[in-house]
Amino acid sequence: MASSYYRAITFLGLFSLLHAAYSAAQHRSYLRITGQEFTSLPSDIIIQGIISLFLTMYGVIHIAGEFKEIRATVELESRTWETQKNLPSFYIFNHRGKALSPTYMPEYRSNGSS
Amino acid sequence: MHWSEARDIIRKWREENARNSIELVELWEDILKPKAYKLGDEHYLVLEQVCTAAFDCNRLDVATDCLQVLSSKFPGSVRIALLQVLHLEALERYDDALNLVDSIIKRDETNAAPRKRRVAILKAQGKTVEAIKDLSEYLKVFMVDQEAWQELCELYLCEQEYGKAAFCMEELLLHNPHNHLYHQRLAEIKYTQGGFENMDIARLYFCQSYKLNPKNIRSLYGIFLSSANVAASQKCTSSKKKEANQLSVWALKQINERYRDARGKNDEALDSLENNLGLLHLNSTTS
Amino acid sequence: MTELLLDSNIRIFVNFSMALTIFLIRILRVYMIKLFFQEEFIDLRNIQCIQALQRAEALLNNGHVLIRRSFISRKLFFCHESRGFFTIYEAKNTKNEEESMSSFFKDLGALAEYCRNNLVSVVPPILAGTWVHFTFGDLICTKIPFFITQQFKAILQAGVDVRDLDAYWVSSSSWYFINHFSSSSISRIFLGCDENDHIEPSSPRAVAALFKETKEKVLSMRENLEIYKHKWSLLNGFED
Repeated sequence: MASSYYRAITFLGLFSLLHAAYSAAQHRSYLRITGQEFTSLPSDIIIQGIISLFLTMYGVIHIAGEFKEIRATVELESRTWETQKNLPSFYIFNHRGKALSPTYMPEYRSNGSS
Repeated sequence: MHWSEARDIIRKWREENARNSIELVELWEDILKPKAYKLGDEHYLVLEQVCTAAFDCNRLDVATDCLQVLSSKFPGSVRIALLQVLHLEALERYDDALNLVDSIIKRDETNAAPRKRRVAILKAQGKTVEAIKDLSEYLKVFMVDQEAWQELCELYLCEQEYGKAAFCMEELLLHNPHNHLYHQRLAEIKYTQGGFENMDIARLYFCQSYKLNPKNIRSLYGIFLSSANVAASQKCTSSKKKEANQLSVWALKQINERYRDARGKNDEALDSLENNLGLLHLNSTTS
Repeated sequence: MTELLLDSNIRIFVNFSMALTIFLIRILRVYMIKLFFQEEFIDLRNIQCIQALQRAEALLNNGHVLIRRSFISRKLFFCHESRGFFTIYEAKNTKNEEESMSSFFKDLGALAEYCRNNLVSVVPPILAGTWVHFTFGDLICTKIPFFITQQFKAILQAGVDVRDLDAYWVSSSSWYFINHFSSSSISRIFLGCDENDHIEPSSPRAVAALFKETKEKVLSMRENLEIYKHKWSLLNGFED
């Protein structure tokens, strides 16, 4: 399924993001032990962070669901009066649907031929 | 079919109010019922939907199953009580249904759903006038209920009270100014009412409907017929006549183009369509 | 300036535990409110008024789709001098209001509800704040990763009174406040609702305010409708 694929991408991205954060913390503590001055993070950590951020964003966008059209009329264009006229609160049931059901028993039979 | 596809279809129908009752019951029985536990909280919504649909096609066995599950889960709920009312209605025991609905209304005065159900029962009994009276009373309090306005419009149409039906439709229009179907419907009501003024209004509403949704061929036909009618009227001023004539010609051209696109060029059906449209034109001018 | 070095255990034992406790208290409060307060009671008259307001608003916003006659008939329904809906509503309201205000303080049930309201919404944060104050005292517990001005010291370093400390260090009391104020949105994510959604309408004062607010809304809505100039906006069909 497509969604599990995107879910995997998201988790991969998040995991990689966490890994980058952990590496940064490790780097800081290493500098502290060896007594060096902190200037900036090594470029591989920065690149990993940025790539995994975009990876996560890509995955999340696809998981979040379908995008909707921003114009109000577009969604209505495909609707027809057939569905628009249905009002669930006002359904009534004495129509021919009754006669079509498998359990239907006519109440009385007129004496016509078969 | 996978159960999640069935769920998506049913969800879509629920959101659009599609009344595909037989298909819905079949989907439920064949695919979704064994997997119902996977639906989570949506399970109960689906059960309610299936229950209503089952009453609709008189599958009382399915409906009572759903009802049992729901009423054991939510005892004392108004929504479930309404399903029981539906059950009585499906059995055509209308007096019992009315009594039950009245008791529900008494229990919770502020709930809109049982009041609407009461109107539906009256309608099912064929007492349209009483249903209209009841619904108007209801709308005096719950005056933004769009479903109710639409139903009142339908009821008035049954009684051929077009002016009042148009009023209800306008109410819907106020809340959904972007819905082409409501514009189209209002135009149709005005068109049915007849007379020069109404015809002119109908023409404008058809135009608006077409503008909101250029795929709506019904309103294109409406533009053609109403503007031809306006042009033929004796009350029409000459400048307006010219404008209406232009409009009807334009609409006719659009319709023709539409059919040509759909059918491919040089189709013989197109010729007969043009002939028929000519007839329509003749009819509308003579009427 | 020399870099301060925090004990890494602070991360787990102070920051994390404090955030967790505050979040749990928040959840507890939401459920306490659900336990204590029933659904607010609305009567039919109230519903009618609110719905009328909504309808009038729709008329104001989208009145241009109607023809002039239909618009005026609707406007008269709301604003007719003697029989208009809002006119009648206002006349009724001025009578009712005095009675409802005087009975409010007599009503012991309402007072009890007010106390319960306070019990739920005020006491737990005070208790939690005291706990933080006595357990963690005045402790630097975290650092903001960017530079801010000295003015922020009063907010971020509550309880720590060291003049030479850089502004981006955060004390534990401030950490508590930050967590406290941000936890409502977090609880909204986790529980789907917030305590404020419940508290507001159920306290009697809020109900009175709500009532008054709708009355004022009615007044302003009526004025708006009277001022509104109707102009039919349907365009002609020539657009090709």
